[in-house]
Amino acid sequence: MKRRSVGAAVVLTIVLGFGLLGCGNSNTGTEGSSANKETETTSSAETTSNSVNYPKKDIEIVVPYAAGGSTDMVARAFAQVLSNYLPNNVNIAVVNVTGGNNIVGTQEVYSANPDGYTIGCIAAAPLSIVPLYGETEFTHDSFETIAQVTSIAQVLAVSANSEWNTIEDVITYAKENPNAFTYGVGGKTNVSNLALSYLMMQEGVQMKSVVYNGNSEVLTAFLGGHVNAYTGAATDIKEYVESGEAKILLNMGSVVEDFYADATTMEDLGYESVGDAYTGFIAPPDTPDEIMEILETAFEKAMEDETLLATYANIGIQPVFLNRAEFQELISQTFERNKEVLKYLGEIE
Amino acid sequence: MDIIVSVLQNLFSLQALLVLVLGSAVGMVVGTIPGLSASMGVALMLPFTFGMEASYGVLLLVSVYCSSIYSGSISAILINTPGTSASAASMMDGFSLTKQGKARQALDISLNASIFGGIFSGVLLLLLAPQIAKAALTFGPPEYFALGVLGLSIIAGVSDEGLLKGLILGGFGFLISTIGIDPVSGIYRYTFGNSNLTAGIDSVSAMIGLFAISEMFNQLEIGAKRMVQAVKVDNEGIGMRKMKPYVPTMLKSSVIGSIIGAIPGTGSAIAAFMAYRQAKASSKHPEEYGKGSLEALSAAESAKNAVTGSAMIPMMTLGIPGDAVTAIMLGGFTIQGLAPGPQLFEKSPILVYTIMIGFLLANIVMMLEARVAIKAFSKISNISNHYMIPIVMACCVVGAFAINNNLFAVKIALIFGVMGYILPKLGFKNLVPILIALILGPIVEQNFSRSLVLSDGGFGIFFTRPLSLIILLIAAGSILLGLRKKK
Repeated sequence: MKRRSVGAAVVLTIVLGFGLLGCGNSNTGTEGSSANKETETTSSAETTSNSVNYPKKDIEIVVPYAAGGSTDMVARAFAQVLSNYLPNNVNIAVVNVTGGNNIVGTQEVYSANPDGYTIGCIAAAPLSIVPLYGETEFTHDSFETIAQVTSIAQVLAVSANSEWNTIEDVITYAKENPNAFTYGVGGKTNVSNLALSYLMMQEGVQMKSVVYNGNSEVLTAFLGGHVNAYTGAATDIKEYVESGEAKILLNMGSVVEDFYADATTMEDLGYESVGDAYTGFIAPPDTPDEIMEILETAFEKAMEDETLLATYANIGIQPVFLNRAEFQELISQTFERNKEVLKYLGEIE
Repeated sequence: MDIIVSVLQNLFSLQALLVLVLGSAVGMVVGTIPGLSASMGVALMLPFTFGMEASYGVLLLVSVYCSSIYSGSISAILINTPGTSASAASMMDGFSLTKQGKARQALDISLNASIFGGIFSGVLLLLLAPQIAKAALTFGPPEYFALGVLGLSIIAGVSDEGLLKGLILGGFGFLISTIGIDPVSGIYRYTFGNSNLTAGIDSVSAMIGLFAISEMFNQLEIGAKRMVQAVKVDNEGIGMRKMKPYVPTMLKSSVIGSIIGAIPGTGSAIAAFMAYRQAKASSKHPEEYGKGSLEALSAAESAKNAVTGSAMIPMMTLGIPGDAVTAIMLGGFTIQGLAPGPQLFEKSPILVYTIMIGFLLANIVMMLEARVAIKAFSKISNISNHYMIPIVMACCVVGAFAINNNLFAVKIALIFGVMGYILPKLGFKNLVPILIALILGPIVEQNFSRSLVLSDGGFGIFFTRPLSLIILLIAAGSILLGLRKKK
């Protein structure tokens, strides 16, 4: 009797496992992608009429980044205020789905129901860098872009008492000592890695990248003197620049904040500004236009919200807005440029 | 002096006490339920802190953190299912004690040792934060590698039934840890085109499967009415005074826990296992370890909670998270407009001291709440299996889902559950080496790669740096000692 019940349990578990295995990976993914999902799959059918009653229930923002990071904070900042700009006063929840260079969370948005109740908050890498490796289902223009909401400049910083005072010093050093200068970066496919690789490509120099898991690990390594330079979001190193321990030598992006107003920019060096980790919101492919318009307008209006702007100031970022079409254009442009850099590095064919 | 007065005024206000009591309660519930981790609890509370004053918001997160790390042991002890990975080391002895009818004692030791560890690291936080932070920074890739190797050497100490079996399981765990995108090279390993696998196998889902779900299968097989057979139940508690014989063990373990916690990127689970190993090596009764040794329990418990205070050291002094939970807390700080880092101490000393002393208070509040709860908790073992098994299975499924809001983790947990049920039948009774290797594998491998990048491929880097050399020697010594004792 006991053997049979155990056997039954194990068999049931295996069946359950296979059942889940079968259902979970489909593109039309209606399972488990959002905790708030009710069984209203008829909502997409209803939106064919002109007046759309959206949103009718809570909206979920999927963040493919860890809680507490800068993208997550941007998503939370919007989650706080967005419902004021949408009809029906619904709740907005932030859900973190991490892993695999942001692929897991981005894939979840890709496979979600295109009914406007699941949207994603992403930075540049998942759409303009990661798909170049050819292992993802989605690519740079697979999603319906909603809007860009900020841009976090990626910078290169060295210790305040190091021998390098300008980025030119670094480049000269790298020319004379190929592969000796080490810089930490939070991920192989991070914007800062691509941006610096682009610079190396243009200048014809070689520096060593030491790849960590996220900007805070890079910061730790940098502070401990294990790498020569920190590359990553300006926001993460702000404290150390202000306290005088670090100096930012290069601003790889186009956004300038007070604490690195003097830093050389890529444009100063004569190159394109490639180091902008633009952050924005996306929706699953084929989300109906009416819903997209409602979302786009809501985000545009939310950009003026006082609470939001205060949170932005706390995080240390600036509001930068691009609408649907412009945002997609930006993503595709950077995608093409990144393709060149990766080809140069021999990462892709 | 005025700082101290303001701090005390902050802390002994009604709002502060309310926050501490609430946070501890929430943390205790979240920590106990298998699958709901400490980081989940803290992330859940994060939105509540937005409306609060900065110091109270942080205190809320801190108290959730402490109590959820502690309470993972409650379920580890009572139903052989760690509530958080940190409690995996307490499971072996804790549950054995429950089976002997000594659940109450196990729970008491767990609480007392946790408080000891927590307060120990809290005092370190208060007195030595900047210095410890500076020391922690000296750990570079070779040192992390060495630390990981030291952690893996624990496998030698944990496999009672032979080093070979432990190594096989450890190797298996290590292999599984390679699944996913390798961060350093960007290569996709064993992902089979499945986007969910790019993230690798999460150690929490593996843990839920290997230890919780498999235990439920075991219980079904045994077919008993309840988890614990009708042994004479010893309800005599262990108060603080009776803890005296365990103090040396707890001290050593708290030191280990505090060191591990202060090093960014490690965690409570590693600390607990290391302390367990160290305590066993220096114990007068090592043969009891794994079979219900109160001393072993005190070692694992104090180490794991000692991580909570010291993980806040790099967070507050450097703005770098010590582990996953402090990463979330860091976000909480930032949204409040605070910037942890070198300037926090100068700009907002009152806030900083409020948090540090508040941490100590949180431990005390937790102790008081837990004392009350323990009396009720120890009765859990009496619940009939008819209820226990479905409830625990349900919690496991929910918990696994909650890890990443993704059903995939549930599938992983189920697979590991079946594995955890079958492996003992093949002769592998102790599955802990799989978990250790799964957690430590990435640390060892990634830092090995990084070290070689830095040294241009030269292996000397591990031996020319004094710190990594020392740690590697300790690891070698630990392994040799383990082998010698077997003879």
